[in-house]
Amino acid sequence: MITNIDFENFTAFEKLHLSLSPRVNVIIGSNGTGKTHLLKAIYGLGLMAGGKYPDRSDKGFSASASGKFLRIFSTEDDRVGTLSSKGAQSPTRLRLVNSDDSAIEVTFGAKFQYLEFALGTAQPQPADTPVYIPTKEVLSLVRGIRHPNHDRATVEMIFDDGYVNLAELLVQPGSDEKTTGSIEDPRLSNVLRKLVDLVGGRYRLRDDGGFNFEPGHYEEKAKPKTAPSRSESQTARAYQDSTQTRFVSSGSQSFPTGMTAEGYRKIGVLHRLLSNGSINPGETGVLLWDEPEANLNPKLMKEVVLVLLELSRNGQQIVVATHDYVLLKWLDLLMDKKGKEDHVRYHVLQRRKEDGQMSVYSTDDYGQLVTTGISKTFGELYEAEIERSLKGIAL
Amino acid sequence: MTKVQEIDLELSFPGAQAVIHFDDNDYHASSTVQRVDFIAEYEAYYLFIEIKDPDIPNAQNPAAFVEKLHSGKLVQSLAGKFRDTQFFRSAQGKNDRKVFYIVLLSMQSLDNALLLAKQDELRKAIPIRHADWADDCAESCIILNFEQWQRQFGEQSLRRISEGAG
Repeated sequence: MITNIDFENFTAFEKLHLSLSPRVNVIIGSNGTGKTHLLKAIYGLGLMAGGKYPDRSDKGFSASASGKFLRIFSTEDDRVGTLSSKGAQSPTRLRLVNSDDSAIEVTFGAKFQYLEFALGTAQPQPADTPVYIPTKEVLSLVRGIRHPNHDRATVEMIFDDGYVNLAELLVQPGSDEKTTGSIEDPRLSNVLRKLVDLVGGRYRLRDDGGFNFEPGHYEEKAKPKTAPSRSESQTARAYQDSTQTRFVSSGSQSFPTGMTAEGYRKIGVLHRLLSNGSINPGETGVLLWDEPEANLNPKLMKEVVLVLLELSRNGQQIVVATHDYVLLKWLDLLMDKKGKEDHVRYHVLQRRKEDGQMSVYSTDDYGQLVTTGISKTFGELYEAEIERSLKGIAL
Repeated sequence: MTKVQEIDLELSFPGAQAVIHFDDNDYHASSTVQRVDFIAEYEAYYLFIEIKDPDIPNAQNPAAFVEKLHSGKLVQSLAGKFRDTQFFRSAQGKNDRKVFYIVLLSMQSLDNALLLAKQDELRKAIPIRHADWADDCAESCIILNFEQWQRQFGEQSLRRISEGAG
């Protein structure tokens, strides 16, 4: 669980301090305010802390970790120094602190090729691996990204590691695809069912490395009884034990991913990551999702927000970056602060008028967001509407 | 100057020829005409004014209003009031000027995006326009919140009585 993030002289951020909610965090800002850079930096640092990079004692660690860190940003330069703020007088410093006080900190100067790791940086905790979902849908790209005949260098030039890493997670088999065929984690049963119901089926990996959409739904079925008598206090647990949730194909033909709507594929990505354990609330690291609204029918947004809240209630830390009023408003309307202890923190990135530097303010109060670009946009629309409707009218 | 009062809100119509308190039970006797609160008559147009004030201090049942808003019943009711008032005015022969329907919805928690959405719903519900009509049945229809009303018509045009001064 990440508690704090500090950046100095990193791309557009001269100084940035974020204190994250353990539940849901929303990064808001217009284009060019560095939302994606922020998500990617958290992802890169999280990967380093999560043991996805080589062993730190290894001689080539710094070079290898730096290369991987850069690959997330798809820079055309092979020096980490390219991520320093332009004209910065002091080195770039990135620091990420976890709830157990472990931290990872890297520094580099504008001309550095590799990252320098600060002393005392935490040893990798493999369980904390973060998951990054980029703006574009990835399911339809997996086959192309992973195809053995495709030149790696070319693939990597086209897709940054946000895409490549996600492709690797997506090909892991889901628990509902294994021989038992049922959802293994009862906590996720509702969420998985909801996701499949939203799009009317699931995406399955084909032998050739692509995905097919398989129409169907989940059904709960009773398991054969083994223990006939139980005390009442065991009823809830027993209910879980006595039922299993299995995917039931509707019988209609499955078809290639590309034939389904892009918004549906985004839902499919989330479903696969949950059903194959790549996202495992309380076990795996932070979920970073860049613009969930991209290509998503706004009607689906309510359900997506419900899913995010449900995951967060199960211990999943989430950071989404968004431009979308609909996402923000549903979060505000659907969160249950008292009953379910939901917590949403909004982090607003803005360019300061005085010096053009990025600043951030964080608030747990939706009502404080009236000054954001998203809200202003609707204000302008409303005023234009009033002007048109009441032209020439005085009381 | 013509001032009217709707519970805790006071509205001013300095340029009006007349302001009619249309939602008057005695005037309508036992008919079931749904009516807007006020009609302000000007030389060139009529304003139908409907006032909703869920932000009134010590509101009796704010949750019920929110429920009415979300269920779509509020929009239906606002549309019905407009239609019946139009019908009544036609029968009176007072359909000789442009009509503007202005709903004052004093509800701070309703943000701009939601106001816009409700307004679009209201226009469709009335309806303002129909393919088989030569003209729209109203010049326009708009929902204003407290601040927008003041911005549009001036600070003096609207005040909350319980807050004194003005």
